[in-house]
Amino acid sequence: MIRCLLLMTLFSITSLAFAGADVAKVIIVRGSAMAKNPDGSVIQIKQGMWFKEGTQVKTEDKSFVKLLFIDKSQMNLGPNSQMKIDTFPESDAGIVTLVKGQLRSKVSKNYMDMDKKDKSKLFIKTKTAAMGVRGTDFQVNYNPENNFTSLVTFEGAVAMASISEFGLKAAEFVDQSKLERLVSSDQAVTVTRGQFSGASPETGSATIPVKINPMQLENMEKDVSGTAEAAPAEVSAAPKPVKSIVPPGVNGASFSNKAKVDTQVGAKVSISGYADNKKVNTAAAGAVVDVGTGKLLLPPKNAPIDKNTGVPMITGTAAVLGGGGKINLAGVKNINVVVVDLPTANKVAVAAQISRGPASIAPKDNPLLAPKQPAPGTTAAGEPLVGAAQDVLADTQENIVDSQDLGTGITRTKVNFNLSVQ
Amino acid sequence: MTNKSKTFLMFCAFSLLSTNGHADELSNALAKFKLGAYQSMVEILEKYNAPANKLATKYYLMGVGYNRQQNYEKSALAFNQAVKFKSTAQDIWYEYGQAAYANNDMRLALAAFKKSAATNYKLSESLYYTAHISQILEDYQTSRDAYAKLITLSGVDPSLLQAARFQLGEVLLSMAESRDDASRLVKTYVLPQFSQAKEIDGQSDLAQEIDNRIKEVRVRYGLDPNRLINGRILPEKRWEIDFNQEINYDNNITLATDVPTSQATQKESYIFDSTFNAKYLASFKNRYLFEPSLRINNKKHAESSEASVFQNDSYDLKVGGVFKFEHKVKDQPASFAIGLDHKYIARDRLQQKSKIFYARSTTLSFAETLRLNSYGDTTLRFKYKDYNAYTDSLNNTTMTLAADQIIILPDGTLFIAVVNADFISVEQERDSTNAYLFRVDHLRPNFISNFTLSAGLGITLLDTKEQSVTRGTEKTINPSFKLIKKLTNDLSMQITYDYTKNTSDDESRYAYTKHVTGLRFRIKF
Repeated sequence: MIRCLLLMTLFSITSLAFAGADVAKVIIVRGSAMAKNPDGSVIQIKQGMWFKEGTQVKTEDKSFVKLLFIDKSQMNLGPNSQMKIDTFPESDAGIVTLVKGQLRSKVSKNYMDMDKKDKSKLFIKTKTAAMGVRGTDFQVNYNPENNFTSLVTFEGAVAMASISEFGLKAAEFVDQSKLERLVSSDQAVTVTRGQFSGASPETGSATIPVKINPMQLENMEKDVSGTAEAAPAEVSAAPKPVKSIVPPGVNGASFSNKAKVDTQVGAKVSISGYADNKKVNTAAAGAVVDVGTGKLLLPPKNAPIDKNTGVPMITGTAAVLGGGGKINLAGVKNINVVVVDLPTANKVAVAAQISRGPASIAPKDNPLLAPKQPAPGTTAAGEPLVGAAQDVLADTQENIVDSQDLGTGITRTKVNFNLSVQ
Repeated sequence: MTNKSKTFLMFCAFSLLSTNGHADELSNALAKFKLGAYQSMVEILEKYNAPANKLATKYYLMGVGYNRQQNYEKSALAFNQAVKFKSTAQDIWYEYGQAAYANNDMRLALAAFKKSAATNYKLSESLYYTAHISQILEDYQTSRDAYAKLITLSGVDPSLLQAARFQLGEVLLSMAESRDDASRLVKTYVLPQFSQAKEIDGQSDLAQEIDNRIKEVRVRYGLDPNRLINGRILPEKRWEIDFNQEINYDNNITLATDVPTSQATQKESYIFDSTFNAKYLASFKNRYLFEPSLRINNKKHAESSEASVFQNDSYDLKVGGVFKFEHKVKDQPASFAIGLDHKYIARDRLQQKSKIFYARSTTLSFAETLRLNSYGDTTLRFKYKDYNAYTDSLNNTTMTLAADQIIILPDGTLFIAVVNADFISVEQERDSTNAYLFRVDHLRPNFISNFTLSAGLGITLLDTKEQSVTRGTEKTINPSFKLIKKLTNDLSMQITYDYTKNTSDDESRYAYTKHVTGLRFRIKF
């Protein structure tokens, strides 16, 4: 009995100690950021502060906060963003909620070395999606205006599942076991390096990952704080409009070159930039994605292929790359791309059950690029509308004559004949 | 150990260390390349203070990195340096050429691709670039020779072969254009190249483009057999055979009135309407056209228990021909047509489920189609029809004056306006009528899911002449809707709805309403 009491006391003391323990330290603050402590007090965030579980962090425009967690994982909360540290126990996976904006996470590799390799080491959830982190570097965005959650992985793998699809609310996912079940379900997708997936009420489940444009990936990867306004000056300051490397009217893939860099360097570098992921939306491969809306800018048909990464290239990509993975829409009209929304692209991927290697290029008859809008004055089959008009005229003439001759049609003079017959 | 030996050992160690250092930087750059991180790759290389024997590799890698970043100006500069340092990269001229090409530095690109072709690197593509750039630089002989060499290579990708042969045709066309006998050269050399290019893959996107180009070139050089003297283009396919099957549901076959006192009752039925059409268009001297035609139609009502319904079962057979004279009015294409047709009609008039002779008619028509305005074609018609029925009392003649106008709007939609006046003189004089139809149809392509919408409204005024005291001028309002979709190249479908409301002063006998909904399939052969 005494032993029991002692154990209970010890457990209570331990729990209290952990409930009140500091779990994350502010190591960089830029601009203006506020924190709401578990006791309800609101404070201006300053470098060196420690946060406990239950703390909410909010940033203003052009501001960001970098947090270092007790396991040495880093999280950068981007501008105009809000997050909550739900829980961050030492012996189990932490849970962080992104309320709005952008969260870039670099999870400690030590943390990844926990016993069960296939188990999530950290959960990040939004109103519409939950992510189980099995990788080390990724970016999550949540746009509360359209309830759109996007995920881009820079290293390792992150499992993503839609919460809305299960008819549950984000608030109901408060413990690790529920979240683990969700991100391990059949509906979850695994997003590996260079890939993007999104979830919103419109998409239903988390979308089949799309391998994104390498230039956008690198820009996002370098922009850890999410405060970059546009593409790096090196690229955006190109004095001339960018032209394609491929002559018009030819197959871009066959004109693309696989550069002989290995033989020149004379070293064997076995790094493969892209982890193998069998479930990939190849129809949208090489797209520049807008993490705020899920809009995809697809390379046109016959675009040249970057044979190193295996994705089609968009000529003039730099013109559309905005900060933090957003698209500079003003630049879209200057380049040759096909704009597709994510639910459409995902439907094509689901229908095609595309399950090819990540290095494969878009299918030859890419349904996302196929249909050309009919020219004005033509039918969907591309035939002049005047032809259809001739048919209508012929029908009208025929109707008049038939009804006169037979007195059985719907038209004008048949009443006379019917009466005469009857 | 002597001082010399010490110095030598130190030199060796330093060399080894520095070699490893260079290898590390190049390996790092290579690792970044493999990750697709081209910006990081060139950042490493820009900082890399390479020894003389690594300069060529450094600049080659920088060229590739800038190329992938689409910074072609810097890419070309880097490749230029790599060449200076005698880079041995097999693909350097190809990469250099692509950078210069994208940078619109055509002479530099041409020189690079010529060298790439000379080293047999991506030979067919290098030759294509050489030919294509020479074409842009208007060096047609070099261009022709490069395309011709490409075509003779074995194992060339068919899509590239098709593009090369098509472009060879374009080069020959450019060469022929300045010659006095251009038309002969185009016919002898250019068009055959285009045709051969198209034959390589008739289903490709390029094949469609080649097809259009053949038509353009034929028109420009007066070589189009389908082009009439006034500029109108005839369809290549001169035969037109089609079969139409309609299934309509009519809720008032008997045209019974809506008033409760009416003796007739409203009968409804499905109607199966099958039509076979065949015609052939013959052209003489690109000015005269003759189009003989045949039409067979059969109507069958599903309701077989009601005589007032199945008495309308019928078939008819029509043979005819139209002669057209193509000319110009105010420098715009116009066509004058004279048509003659004869129709035989059989009907179940005795309500015995057997179709017997009902009437025959002969129609002579004249029409002039011309472009009076910028909206579209206008057609004016005059028709005279002589109608002889099984009983003299139904015999009649009809004189028709009609006009229609097609109006194509800038947004790609279309209106058709029709005015039609029929003056019908029946042998039994009291049944003579004059019918005036005013109809407007609107066609809107891609209305819903690739369906073309055809919405129309017709208003008919029927002057009942001798019966006007009791019937007055009857009005028929007929709004109709069609959704038309082409299912395949040969098969199209229509979903139709017609509403008809007839008003008369003699409401108890002549006023009626009806709804007809239908589905129509048309197959062309």
